[in-house]
Amino acid sequence: MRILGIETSCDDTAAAVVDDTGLVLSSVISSQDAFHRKYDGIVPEIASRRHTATIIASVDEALLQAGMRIRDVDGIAVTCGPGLIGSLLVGVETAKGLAYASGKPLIPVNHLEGHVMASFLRDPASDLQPLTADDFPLLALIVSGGHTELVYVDRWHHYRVLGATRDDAAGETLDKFAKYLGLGYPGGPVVQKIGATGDPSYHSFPRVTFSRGGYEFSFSGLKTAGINYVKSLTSEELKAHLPDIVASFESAVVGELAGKSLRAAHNLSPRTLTVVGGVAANKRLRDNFARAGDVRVYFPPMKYCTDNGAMIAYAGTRRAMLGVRAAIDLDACSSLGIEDSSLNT
Amino acid sequence: MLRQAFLLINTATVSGVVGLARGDEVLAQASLQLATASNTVVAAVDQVLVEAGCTLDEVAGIVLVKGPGTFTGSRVGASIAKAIAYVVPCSLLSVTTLEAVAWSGFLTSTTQATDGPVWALLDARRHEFYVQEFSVRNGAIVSQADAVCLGPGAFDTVRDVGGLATCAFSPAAVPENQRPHERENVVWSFDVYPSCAGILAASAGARSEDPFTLEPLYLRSTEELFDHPKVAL
Ligand SMILES: [Zn+2]
Repeated sequence: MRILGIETSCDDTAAAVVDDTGLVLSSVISSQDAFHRKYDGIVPEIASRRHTATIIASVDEALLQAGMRIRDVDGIAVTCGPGLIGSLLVGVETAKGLAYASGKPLIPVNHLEGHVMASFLRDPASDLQPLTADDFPLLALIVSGGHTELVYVDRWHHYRVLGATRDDAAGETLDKFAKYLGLGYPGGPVVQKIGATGDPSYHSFPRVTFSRGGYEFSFSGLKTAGINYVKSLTSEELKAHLPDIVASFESAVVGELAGKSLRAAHNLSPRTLTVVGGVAANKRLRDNFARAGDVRVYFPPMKYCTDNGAMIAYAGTRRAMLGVRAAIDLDACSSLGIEDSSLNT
Repeated sequence: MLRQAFLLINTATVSGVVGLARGDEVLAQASLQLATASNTVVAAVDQVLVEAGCTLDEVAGIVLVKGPGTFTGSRVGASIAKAIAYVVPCSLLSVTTLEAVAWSGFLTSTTQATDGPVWALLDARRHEFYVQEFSVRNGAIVSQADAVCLGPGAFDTVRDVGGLATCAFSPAAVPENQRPHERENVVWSFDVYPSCAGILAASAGARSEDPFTLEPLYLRSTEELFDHPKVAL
């Protein structure tokens, strides 16, 4: 079984073909960074326009790279939520048009499930050993510019959210801090680059702790503390210690993520902990998971951590094997939760 | 099988329509309430094909009303039209919402002018209107000028010339001091949305589009909209 996957939930227009073993036959990503950079953040209307302009070319390129025509695929999977509604609609309506005209099944995919499924993708060019069915139950930290969720997955399509962010997503926090410092957009990579040479213990930012000992996250307080701290510095101090300050802030963000994830792993004893989403590319975050103990920690290849069509195609493949189909009036849902997409298998 | 049918799609206005035509005849149509049910367009395409007893194999092309209009609505129609044209494959033609409105209003006008100015007006929000001047020549609507986006002065522009003014909005959307009054040189026609007959008639002058590159016609650039974005920190 080979499924075409389409992903347009945020600012990347992506399409891919994946088979039922998780083997990635093609993965095409058309980045919009250049269009959003001058606004230091994603402008939804621009994202929707770019998706509309490039989606057919992305789909065609994905099919071409897989050596296929659309009639050769066994289904079309599409992200139907969560995400920016205008962006989601372009992918959903395109997928519906493609599925209708080709007579192929349409398979709805939750973007967050897609991120988890990235852990199972097999890349012909990567030595990494992806997860298999033997790795359940697993704990997934989904962390990106739009999401921060810790999810327990006991088997395929079974999701229990242990905790999510109460305010900003972790990646958003890094973006906003970078923006305040005038470092540019997107903030994650630039923070990592500048912070790489800094001393993460230079300044200690406050951590948020919730009394019930749960797994919820909060980053808005940390963001405010970061900005207030920068405001308190002279421009000379800031200039002299920029890498240290960035490293300290980055360290506080990823420390929060890793700390809660490892505590959940300790308490719930999953077989595997997988870290997915754009922030999973962060080196300091990866280093923080070095002390994981018995649990296997997996990071998918970088290109499958950020938004991509392959993860949607594979999630679609798993669902298609169970007979999941979308109706012709499938709608996008910007606030879809991962638990909303749990299946009673 | 002969490919002779054309699929007509307008989702750029709040009242949308999907239709199937062969030659000059509209074989089937379905209206769309896009404000509440933008997810039903593909189902409507299926409905008109079934009603007309046609399959996509008989579709020679798609005529898309590509905007201006609501941004999301325009994208929904464009996404679907591009996808279907890519898969079938069939030709993809576009007309503007203003062309489709002018034709739709002209075809149903009771005071049908045999020649003279015909205006198309669309609500562009922010107290602005998209306006385009056409004229009737030999029974056909011909563009006289490019579409422009104007403030309430749009109505003065129309009154300066006179003619038939077809408006894709209700009279309530007209500014108080611009409301139609008796004994003026303009015949105002409100709530005119692209009809299948109007889209089909406009398609005689349609542009040929590439499904790989077609974008809706927005008339408002993102620079104009967002060069002073309110991105909260
Ligand atoms: Zn994502």
